[in-house]
Amino acid sequence: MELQPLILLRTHHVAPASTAVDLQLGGYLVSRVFDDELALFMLRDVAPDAIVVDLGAHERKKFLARLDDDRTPVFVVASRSMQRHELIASVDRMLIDCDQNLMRSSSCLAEAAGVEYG
Amino acid sequence: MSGRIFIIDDDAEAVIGMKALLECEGYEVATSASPLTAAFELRRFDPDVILLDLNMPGLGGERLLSLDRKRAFPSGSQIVLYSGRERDELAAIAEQTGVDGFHSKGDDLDAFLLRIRRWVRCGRARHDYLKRSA
Repeated sequence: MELQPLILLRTHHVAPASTAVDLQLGGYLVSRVFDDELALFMLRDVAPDAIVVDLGAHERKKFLARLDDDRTPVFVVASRSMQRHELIASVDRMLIDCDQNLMRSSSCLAEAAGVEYG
Repeated sequence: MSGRIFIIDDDAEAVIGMKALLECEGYEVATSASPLTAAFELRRFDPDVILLDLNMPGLGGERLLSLDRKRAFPSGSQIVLYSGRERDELAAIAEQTGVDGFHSKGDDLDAFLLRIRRWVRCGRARHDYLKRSA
């Protein structure tokens, strides 16, 4: 049996935890992290298959800038109204355009993370 | 695989079976039949993963999570809902309460053990980080 892909979810949403549950229902194992330092530590220590960033614009930009040297695929949770160039201005990585429905993007996430989907 | 797992469940038979299974996998396992009496033991054991049953008399896991989660559970532990309820219902409760995962008791055990391995790894990483930051 295959290991479920592990997603490190950098978020500030303790509850409700919609993104985390969406990812779990999509077949992923999720570990939520509420601060940048712990997220960077876990990236090195746990080596997740991908990292999903679900933060406000300011915090997101700050966190993405700290991922420059890391090769883990990074996905950003954002609404369709958000400009793509705004999200990838500092870090040119994959983007989830989820509009509150991350499930639709799960196969895209798996593909980019190089893992088998759910 | 090393790691510490704490089971909170009032179903003695289910606890004995799960404890034996997890110990065979190499985990250190502690149990409590009630969340009311688990608090002290949780602090002492400081588990990487807590398997929390929802259907318990008096104070169920769902109610406990809504009351005082920070005081009731060690901060480095991954909290996983562990119940006989349907997966969709568990997902809804997990979303409301903000736990780290959920597992329906009827689900495949091999898949559960694979998930446990990674939850434990995440819990251990959190513990290591907290120790270094202290």
